[in-house]
Amino acid sequence: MKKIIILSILGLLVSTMQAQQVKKSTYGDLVLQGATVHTITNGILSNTDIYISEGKIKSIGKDLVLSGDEQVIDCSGKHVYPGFIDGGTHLGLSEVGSVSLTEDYNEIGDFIPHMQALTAVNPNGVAIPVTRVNGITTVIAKPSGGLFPGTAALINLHGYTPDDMYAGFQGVVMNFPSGGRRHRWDRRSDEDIKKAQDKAMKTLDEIWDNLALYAKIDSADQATGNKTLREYQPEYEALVPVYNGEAKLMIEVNKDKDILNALKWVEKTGVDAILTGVAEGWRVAEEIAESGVPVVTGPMTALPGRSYVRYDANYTNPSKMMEAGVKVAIRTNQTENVRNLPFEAGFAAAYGMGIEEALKAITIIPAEIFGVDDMYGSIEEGKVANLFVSTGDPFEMQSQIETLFISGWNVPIESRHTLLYNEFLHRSPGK
Amino acid sequence: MGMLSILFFSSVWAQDAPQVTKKYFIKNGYVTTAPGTMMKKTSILINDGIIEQIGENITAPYDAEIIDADSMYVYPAFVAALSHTGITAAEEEERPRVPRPGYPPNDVAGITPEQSVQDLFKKNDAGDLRKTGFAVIHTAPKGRMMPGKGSIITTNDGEYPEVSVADDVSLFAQFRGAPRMYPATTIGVMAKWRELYKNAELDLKYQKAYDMNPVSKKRPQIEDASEALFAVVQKEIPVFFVTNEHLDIHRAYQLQQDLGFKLIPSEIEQGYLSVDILKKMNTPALISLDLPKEDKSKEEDLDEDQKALLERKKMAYQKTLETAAMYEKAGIPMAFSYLGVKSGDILANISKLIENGLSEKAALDALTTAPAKVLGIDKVTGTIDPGKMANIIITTDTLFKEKTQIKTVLVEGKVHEIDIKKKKKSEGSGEAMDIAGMWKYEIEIPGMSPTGTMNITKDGESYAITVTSDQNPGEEIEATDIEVDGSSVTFTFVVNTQGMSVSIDNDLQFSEDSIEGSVSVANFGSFPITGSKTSSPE
Amino acid sequence: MKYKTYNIVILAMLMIVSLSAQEMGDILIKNGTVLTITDGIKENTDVLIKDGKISKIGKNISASGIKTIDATGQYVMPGIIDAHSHIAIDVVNEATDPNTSSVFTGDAVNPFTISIYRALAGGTTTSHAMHGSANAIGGQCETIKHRWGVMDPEAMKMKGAPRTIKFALGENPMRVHGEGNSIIPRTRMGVEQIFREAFSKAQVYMQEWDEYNRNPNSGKLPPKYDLKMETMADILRGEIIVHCHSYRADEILMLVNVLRDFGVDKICFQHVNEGFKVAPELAEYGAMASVFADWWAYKFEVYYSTAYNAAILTKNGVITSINSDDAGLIRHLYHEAAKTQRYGGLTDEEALRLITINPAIQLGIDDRVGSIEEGKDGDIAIFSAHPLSIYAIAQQTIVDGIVRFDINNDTDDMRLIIDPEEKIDTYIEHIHEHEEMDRCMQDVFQFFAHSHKH
Repeated sequence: MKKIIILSILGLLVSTMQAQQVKKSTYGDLVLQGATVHTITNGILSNTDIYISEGKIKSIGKDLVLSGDEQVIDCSGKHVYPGFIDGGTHLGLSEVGSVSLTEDYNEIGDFIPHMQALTAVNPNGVAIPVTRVNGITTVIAKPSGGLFPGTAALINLHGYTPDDMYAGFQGVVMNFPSGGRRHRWDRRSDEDIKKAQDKAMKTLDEIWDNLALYAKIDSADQATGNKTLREYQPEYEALVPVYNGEAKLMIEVNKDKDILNALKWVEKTGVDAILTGVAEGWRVAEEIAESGVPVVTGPMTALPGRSYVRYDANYTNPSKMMEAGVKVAIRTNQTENVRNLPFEAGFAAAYGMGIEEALKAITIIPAEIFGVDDMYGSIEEGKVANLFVSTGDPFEMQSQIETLFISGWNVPIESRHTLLYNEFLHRSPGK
Repeated sequence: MGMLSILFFSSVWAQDAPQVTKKYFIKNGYVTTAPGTMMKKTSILINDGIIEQIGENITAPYDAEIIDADSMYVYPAFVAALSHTGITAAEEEERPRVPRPGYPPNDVAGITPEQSVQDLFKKNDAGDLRKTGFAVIHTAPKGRMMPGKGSIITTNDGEYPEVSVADDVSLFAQFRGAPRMYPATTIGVMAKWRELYKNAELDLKYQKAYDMNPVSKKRPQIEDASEALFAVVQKEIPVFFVTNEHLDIHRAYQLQQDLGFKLIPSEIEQGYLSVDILKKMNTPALISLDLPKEDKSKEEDLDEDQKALLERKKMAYQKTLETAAMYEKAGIPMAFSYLGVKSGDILANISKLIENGLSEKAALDALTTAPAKVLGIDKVTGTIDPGKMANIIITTDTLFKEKTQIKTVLVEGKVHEIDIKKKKKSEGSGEAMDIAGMWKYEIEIPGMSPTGTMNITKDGESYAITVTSDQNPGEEIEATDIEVDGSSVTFTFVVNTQGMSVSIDNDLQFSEDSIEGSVSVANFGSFPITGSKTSSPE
Repeated sequence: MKYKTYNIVILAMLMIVSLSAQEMGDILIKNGTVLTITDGIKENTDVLIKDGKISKIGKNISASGIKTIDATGQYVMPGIIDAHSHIAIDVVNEATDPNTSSVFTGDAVNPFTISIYRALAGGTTTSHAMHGSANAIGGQCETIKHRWGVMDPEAMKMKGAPRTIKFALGENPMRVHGEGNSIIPRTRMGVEQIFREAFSKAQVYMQEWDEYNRNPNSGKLPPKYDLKMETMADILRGEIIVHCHSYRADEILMLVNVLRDFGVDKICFQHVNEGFKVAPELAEYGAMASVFADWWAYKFEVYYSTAYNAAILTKNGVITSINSDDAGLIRHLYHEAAKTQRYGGLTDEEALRLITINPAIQLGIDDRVGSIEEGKDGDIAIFSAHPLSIYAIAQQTIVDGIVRFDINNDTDDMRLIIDPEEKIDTYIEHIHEHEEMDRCMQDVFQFFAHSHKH
């Protein structure tokens, strides 16, 4: 008897837990019929079908011929967009902000580029479904902290393992030595800030000198097939591809002068760099454009870093950089609210960027910057089926995302937030 | 001569020669008895610390010591409306622990209105202020929100109570919270003020009722802090409230409006914003003489928006200097307060205020009659009038001229001759010291430790420094940007090596025959330097 | 790069300063789409403000000799109201005791905070400058109007607005006092008792004073004056609206029960992330809710949240508002309100009410602001597009008939005052996103930094 009670209590627990569990995604051949397709790279196609098969976009066209085995979704009057890409988040690496043991993005150490974000991505993080139901299919999960806090990974927001989720790009993250205050309670004197910055710069130079030697030995070993007896130095090992120009370095930098210094450093070292953050890019937009280094900027809705700049300094930052000729992608730099990515882009659109360019800044541009534009960032035949169906402009909050595909999986538009809504909207109906 | 012998001699000199007479006769000066007046060839007779007679035709009694003021200028000595003279700050624990931070003991929380200067006064360190022309000072305890009561003292050397003119004449207050306990913030301080005040009113009322008829009444048990506020509640003494910023003035005024005490906003630093509120408050205002430093950045080093910011900073600086003139124009009675300013900067800073529109009369008012009135001692000092304390200064020229020096200060009839020195350029507090000579140095750079010499020569007021390096014999480098402040010396020299100009900044502390300090070498870092004197100049 | 010369900057500054003399103005807004909130949408309509008050709404209004704004093609809405913010005050938390009802943020109003101007640039004209959430019973708060340009902090205050006080439940008071100082509350059980103790003592206090006041000149020993008890007594008398920082459903119900026991009915829960779970109970008690649009998961007590909170509460009859609690969000509350259309499908009017009349009701100022009605204060925000559109940009923001933000008059460096010794190349990185999340705990870090991480 006791056992039965315990079992039924367990059953109760399981069922309440299930109420918090998002339904399983489905997979198979599927056609979106009669949609307005925002391809990004080939304009807007009206009344067009998209055939999804084996995780890819198999074909795009009007009145596609079907075998009859496909699931068909009527999309007349609906809009299809490629999945949005957020170029900088902690998604998957964090569960509850103030509970440090659930936070996996900030490891101990200043020089730890070998820390792999992908390792720590939790495919079942509660924030992941919350994010993707707004049309975000792909994000950079990045470590943060010291000078070289680790290696970021591009992940799709669906999958049972980190490897399932991996979207083909990893980049070493670097926090460029900053001349700014860390936050508004940073009470260091200007001299101390300068000293800390100089010291970090010196450390960086030392690391790079050592890396040069390490890479030289490494390439000699590669050429001769010898293996020089070397100590285990995973830090340098992780940076060798960056040094050799085979991997990208994501340089977080925000203050105007720091950006200029970073550009100089990039030129000096010849690394293949992406600038991230770049909050004061508008002050040095021409210099960034000249360097050809692409930018992942955001959030636009952060407060300006100086009290005396215009209120819209951050809102207009992406458009000012874009006008100067910088390749600009947009990120949220968020964790649980990466879902705001389309609204960040909408802000940028309103403040000078325009809708078309703002759409690119969260689709094809980040795909290009991360070197995955052959797979992601637009609706083209052969690309991965990361896309969603919306009732209207996805930047507008009145629009609803109705259907979402990630790597061809038809992902339910459900998350803890929608489940709680469904449960509690009418808590005791009929009572 | 070593340091020891200097100390020895000075201690001998400190012992005054016994005085022969208590009568002094200041003869034939240009006398300003009160701001805005000036009488030629006028003499003043002083007897036992009191001014007896003033006039053109009075003659010196035989038993008076004559102070010849021919072609000199005579003014009332100054009155400092607020300072911390003679008060050593109480040792404070940085983070004292109390079991319930919401209810700390009053003294730990900085609430000690019962504290009196007479209990705290250590040593009269008013000498520097006296040299600057002050005879009477209002001094207040240091601390947090309510450190205690202020007293009025003279600048004569001496112990308590002989220097005391009047005790417990004010309450001193600040918006300074307690560390990690109530009241920690400005809003806590204001709430605490309201509560203390209301309770003092209630306690006072009950005490009076009890004093009238104690029958059937519980004996009053009144906390020290509450009792100490009776004088404030009864408006017998004013509250000198430190209000550095414009908003502090508003906040103190808010309290005053809620509670009704007499308020003197003090140590005002951002006062150019506060003309309207001060007019409304209809109270004297004490302006801080601790003026901000002007940003002397050169425009060519700045980008466009920084130039705009620099311009705004300069405007704000300019406005700060114009504050006193604005108050004069608006009819706001003003004096100065001296909590932050170095005594050596006082007259120079007043000159800046005059350059920016303050009239000399108003400046002298703010140094004499106005503070005397604020402190309620205008019957006894602030002007040169018969019957008042003989608080008088004698100067070489009219006040506020750049070259004018104070020659004599009389404090309650006691004569202090001031050594007339050539004015130092810098207003540093350190005693000037002669650093001229040949010095050897060694810079402690690991593995290098370069050595060399510095030849320091004096040319009138300024120094010239030539640096040599043992590593590079024969080359002599002239130092630039030489700044000497007492025994602290900074200068820069540039070494040209391998086509690079490396700038070396020196920050040295000189003693009689040795140097200690640091040099920073361009971007390479900062290194210790030591040295010793090898010869004195010929 | 487009930098204005400093002369313009200075001119702009002088212009602002010269505004300060005036606190009420006249203005005619012509031909806009007027979102009245309480009386539908009126196309091609004029709004006339005289002496700071809306005097007429209609077509073809003419008034000579007063400033006229052509709002053709633009949207005219009441100034946005934020029921929870910490801008414009120098002190947020007196974090020294579980009960600091004696303190008052109104004492620390700072009219020079640049955040005020930035809020205006997003159409926000009124905000509730609240004490923080470090203490179960925090300080009293101030309702301010964004009269950017005044030099007198008193002129920022919305005179006549009801008194309010901040309460706080859950992790923040538990962490500061329980974990930080080892005094009650360390649990939600302890939090409840803080309120019960304070209200009960206040009842005794009131009785003592009532007895004393029956004959104040009897010469009897008066009770000790206790400012905390005075405030608690005023809450019991119904003179102060309680605004309570809260997250979990259980603690929300706890406070409802406490208030019911002590007969306090003016209550607006703040944040109230799990309010959706107890919406029927809130509606029944008449408790109101002021929520974030989508903040969650930054700490454990907000892990089980939903962005549909506002929608559920609204549809269950709870008077709900969307607030900022943040100098960043207060700049675009219209977007935050629009999120309720993505998350819960509220109508335009329901969504706009969340940032206008509803917060006004919660602050007890709905007779003066929160809608465009004749006789109400002339607080207006004019947008380039419908304010619930992501593409809407605030054009002009008017407080009491005076334009306090004009996008065409917005220059670099709009600060009113600066420090002559400030550094001119200070930049603040905003690396730590969670630091932005909980402004409620501002000032606590400095005091208690040693005992915990945020």
